Amino acid sequence: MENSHIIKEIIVQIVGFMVVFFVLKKLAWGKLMGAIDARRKSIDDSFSDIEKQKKNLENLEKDYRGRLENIEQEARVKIQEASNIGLALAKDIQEKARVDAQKMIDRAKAEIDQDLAKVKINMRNDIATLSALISEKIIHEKLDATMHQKLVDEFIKEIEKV
Amino acid sequence: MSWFVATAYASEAAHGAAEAHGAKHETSLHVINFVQLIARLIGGSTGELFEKYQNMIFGVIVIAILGFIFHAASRNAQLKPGRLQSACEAVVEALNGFVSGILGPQGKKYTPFLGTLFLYIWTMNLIGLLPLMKSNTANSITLPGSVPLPIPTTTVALALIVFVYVQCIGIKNQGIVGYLDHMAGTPRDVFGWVMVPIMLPIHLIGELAKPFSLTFRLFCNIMGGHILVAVFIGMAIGAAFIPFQAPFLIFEIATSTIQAFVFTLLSTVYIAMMLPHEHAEEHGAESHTHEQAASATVLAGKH
Repeated sequence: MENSHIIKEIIVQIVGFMVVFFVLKKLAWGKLMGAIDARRKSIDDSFSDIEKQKKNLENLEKDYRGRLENIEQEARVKIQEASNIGLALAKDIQEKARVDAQKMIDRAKAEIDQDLAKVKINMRNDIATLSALISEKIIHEKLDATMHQKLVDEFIKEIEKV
Repeated sequence: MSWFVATAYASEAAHGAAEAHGAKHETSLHVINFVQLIARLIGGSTGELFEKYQNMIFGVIVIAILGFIFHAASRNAQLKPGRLQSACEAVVEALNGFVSGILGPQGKKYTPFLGTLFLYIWTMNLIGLLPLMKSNTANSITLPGSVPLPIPTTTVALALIVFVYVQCIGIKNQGIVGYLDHMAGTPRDVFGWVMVPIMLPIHLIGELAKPFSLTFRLFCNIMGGHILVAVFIGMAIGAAFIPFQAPFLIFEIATSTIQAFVFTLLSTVYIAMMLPHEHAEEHGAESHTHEQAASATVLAGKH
């Protein structure tokens, strides 16, 4: 009687342990370890993300630093270029102004020469006319046109010599 | 508490009376539990039935407690855990770390078994410290005879499970030939083969001694602690209900934990001894594991 009860009790205890084992295997080592592993993975992922972002930021910083340096250099080059262009432009303008001024001077000289020549002719004509009139009045005789012109030319030549 | 003490006293008184009449009892000295109390209140054949199957009732209670706690903890397992989930996860993680620490990375697959073993024994040990409850690990059925032999049914069952599990692991990992080779002392030369008739019985006795060692270490430690508490409860009754047993209850909490740990540790060591160690590069790690196992065995032996 006692022997069979002992064996029955041992069997029941074994069965009881098996029940606990399967329950805990499912709940404790299934779900809870799953949750722990999921958390661990999540933390690992977060850390790797942070590392990745840190690396990205470092790359970005490096990139921006490089770009800034390039921008400064480019700015310097552009300022230099602009300065050169400005100088060239100023030189061109100066040259052009000088040429224009020279042209204007030349034109003015030419005009003056023309005007002078015109004035000279007019004046000669006027002097001739005037001298003819004066001469007529002095000598009371009328000079013909050819004679008159000859006298004027001689007079002008004398004046020019003076 | 006074009701608990009074019932303890009643149990001891009943035990004394029974001894005087030369009657057979399940345990030598223990505090009364609620199943016994119900059995005595009901009386008759139903009461006897209750008394007879009290271990199974307490076994079911332990299963229900563990099932309830872990069901509640894992029902809505969150990435951001609550208090219960955190506590259970801490226990599970600690057990996993403990087993993996001895068996290495391959130990993770043995964690459910060894962890369950620890939790089951620990709960059974601790539950006996509550008023009107009983530890199945301290339970035994005495076989009548010229020398009464106590059979601790629960610890026998647990030790048998471990024994069968360990042998199955040995056969599964080493193969039947490898297992027999291991049992024969791994003979590789003439001297080895000559030693087989000695080594084989030694290994067989060694393997068979393990369940006995597991059974009686756990049973005797827990039963001893419970007897100590019962004695001090008896003293408290005689000394105007001064709770002398209180310090020993705290001591018993430690003992219960240590014994559950020792049982699990030894089971882990037995598994470690059955795992193959064939790769040269793993040799260092294996020898390290065996050193740990050996030191753990020494430590457990001291307890």
